[in-house]
Amino acid sequence: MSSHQVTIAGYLVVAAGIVGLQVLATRTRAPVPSLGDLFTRAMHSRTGRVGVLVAWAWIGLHFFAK
Amino acid sequence: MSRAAPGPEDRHAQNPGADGGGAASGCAVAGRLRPGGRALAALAGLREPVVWVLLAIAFFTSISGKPLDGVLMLIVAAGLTWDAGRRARRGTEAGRGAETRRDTKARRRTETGRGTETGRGTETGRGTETGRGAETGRGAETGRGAETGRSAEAGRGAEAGRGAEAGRGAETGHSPEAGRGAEAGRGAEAGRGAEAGRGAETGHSPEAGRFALAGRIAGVRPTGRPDGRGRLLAVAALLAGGAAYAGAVGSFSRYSWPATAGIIALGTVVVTIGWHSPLRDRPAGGRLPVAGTLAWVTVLVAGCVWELVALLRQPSLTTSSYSHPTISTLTDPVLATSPGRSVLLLAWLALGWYLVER
Repeated sequence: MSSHQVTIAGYLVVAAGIVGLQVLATRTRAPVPSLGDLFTRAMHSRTGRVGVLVAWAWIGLHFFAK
Repeated sequence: MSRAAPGPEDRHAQNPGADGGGAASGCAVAGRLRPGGRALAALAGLREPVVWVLLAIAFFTSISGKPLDGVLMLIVAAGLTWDAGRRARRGTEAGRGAETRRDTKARRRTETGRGTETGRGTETGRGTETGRGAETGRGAETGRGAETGRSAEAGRGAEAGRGAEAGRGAETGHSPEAGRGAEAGRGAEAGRGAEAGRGAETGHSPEAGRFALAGRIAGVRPTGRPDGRGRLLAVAALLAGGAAYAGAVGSFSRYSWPATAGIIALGTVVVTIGWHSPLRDRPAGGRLPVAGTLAWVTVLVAGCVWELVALLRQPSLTTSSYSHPTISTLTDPVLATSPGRSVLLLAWLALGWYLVER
C-alpha cells in the first residue's frame, strides 16, 4: 500500500467515524450527542459562536480566496 | 414617555443570556477599575481558548503562504479579546455562571407565560427575549400593542398559548423546566401577538394594528414567525440568492481578487450576525454525555492531526505532495473547474446557514 493510499485511507476512517457517530446519535439510544447538539452547545456562548463561524469562514477563505 | 429601544450593546447588557462565554472568564476583573485595571480587563479575553485557537490559525496560515487569512483571523482574535475585556469592564455578568443565567431565563419565561403577570411579561419580552434582530422590533412593538390593548386580553392569550404549548417543553428531553419555560414564553408571545392583532382590528391599539398589518404583508404571523407562504417565499429567495452567489463567485478563478472579495464579504456578514446574537433562541440542552462527547472530540482531533501530518510531510508548507495529500490537494481537481467551485460553494453556504441557525 503506497503512502498516498494510506493517507487517503486515514481520511476515510475519520469520515466513517463522523458518519458512524452521527448515526449512533440519531438512530440509536446510545449516549452520543449528535453533531448538531455539539454545535448548539459550542455556540451557546459568544466566543464559541464566533469561533465556529470564523472556522466556517476560514474554510471558504482557504479553498477559494487569495 | 416612550423609552428608546436598546442598542446592541445595551441589549447585551440586559440580556446576558448565552453570551456569557466570553465574559464569564472576564468577570473576575469586573466592576469599577483603575486605568491599570482596565488594561488588565482588556486582556481578559486572552483567557478564552477560542482566542488562542484563532491566533494559532493566524500564525500557521500566514506561514503557509496565506497572509490575508492570517490577518483576518488576527483581527477576529483581537476583536474577541477586546469584546470580552469591554464586557468585563462593564461588569455585566459578574458572579453569574452560565447555568445560573439559563435558570433565570427559564424562570423569567415561565413568569412571562402566566396570565396574571402579563405586564411584567411584556417588559421581559421587550427587554430580552424579543429584543433580537428582525424580531426585536416586531416582538417589542407587538408587546407594546398588547399592553395598549389591555393586559387582561394579553393574559388570556398567554394562558391559551401556555395551554397549547406547555406540554411540548417536556418532550424536548432537555431540561423540562427550561423547556416548559421556553414554550410558555412562546405561548405568551403568541397570545400577546394574537391579542395585539385583534386589538388593532377593533381599534383598541393602532400601533399593534400597524405591526399586525406589516406582518401580514411580509407573510409573518403576529408571533414573529413566517406563515406557510411567507416561509416558502423566504426559502425560495434564499435558495435563489445562494445559487446566484455560488454561480457568480464560482465563475471567478480560484485565488483571484473577485473570488476573495466575495468570500470575505459573506464571511464578514455571517460572523457579524453571529457576533451579535444567535438568530434563533435555542435551549442549551443540559450537559452532553461525557463518553459520547469524548468520542466526537477524538474523531475530530484525529482528523485534524492526520491533516497536519500530511501537511508537514509535504516538501514544504506551500508545495503539495502526491504521497501525502492534504484535503486541499485532494480537492484541487474539483476546484479547478467553475462548476466544481460552484457546487462546493453551495455546500459551504449550506454549512454556513446550518451554523447560523444554531
